[in-house]
Amino acid sequence: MSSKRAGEKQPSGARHGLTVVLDLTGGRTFVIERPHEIFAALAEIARNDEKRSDGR
Amino acid sequence: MRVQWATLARYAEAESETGLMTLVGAGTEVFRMRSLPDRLATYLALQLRYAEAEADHEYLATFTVRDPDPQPIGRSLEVRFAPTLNPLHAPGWEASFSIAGARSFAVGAAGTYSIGINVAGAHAAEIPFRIAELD
Repeated sequence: MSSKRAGEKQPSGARHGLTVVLDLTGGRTFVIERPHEIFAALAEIARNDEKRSDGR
Repeated sequence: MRVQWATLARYAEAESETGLMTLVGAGTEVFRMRSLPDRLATYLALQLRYAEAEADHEYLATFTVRDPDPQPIGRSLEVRFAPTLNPLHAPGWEASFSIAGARSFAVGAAGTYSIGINVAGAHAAEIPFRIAELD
């Protein structure tokens, strides 16, 4: 994958605005650098939630 | 530091360099699900206003989603940010900082949910939203 992945770095270098993805069950906040990373982060959160619920 | 406005949307993103936000479907209040339980992905957007003296300091925004009971869904999530004044900032005026957030979570039941927003340790906004199941 060539694109840089969204990270959990905080605080970000954002000066005037910030886009984040909130992982409620995983307790993580993804700081988004490029808009397309939103969907990758949401998909990862859904996969992890599914794994957690399968593991119950 | 105060919340000037906050809303849910079908889509939201904020540019770090300009603070400009792209919103689609802002003001969304009701989410209709084909069946429950299901997974809901939605977005929120908020614009903060702050005094010039508050620039260049780190702040913490906390987001808590609550179910109809109202119990927290998952954990409260923290977002740290350090706003800076725009070089073209008009002296004496408040500055702004934009936050857009996407979230995705499992919804078990219809009802009224909410997302609470704390900024700098104080409750700043509460956005209610309804989950309805299609018949």
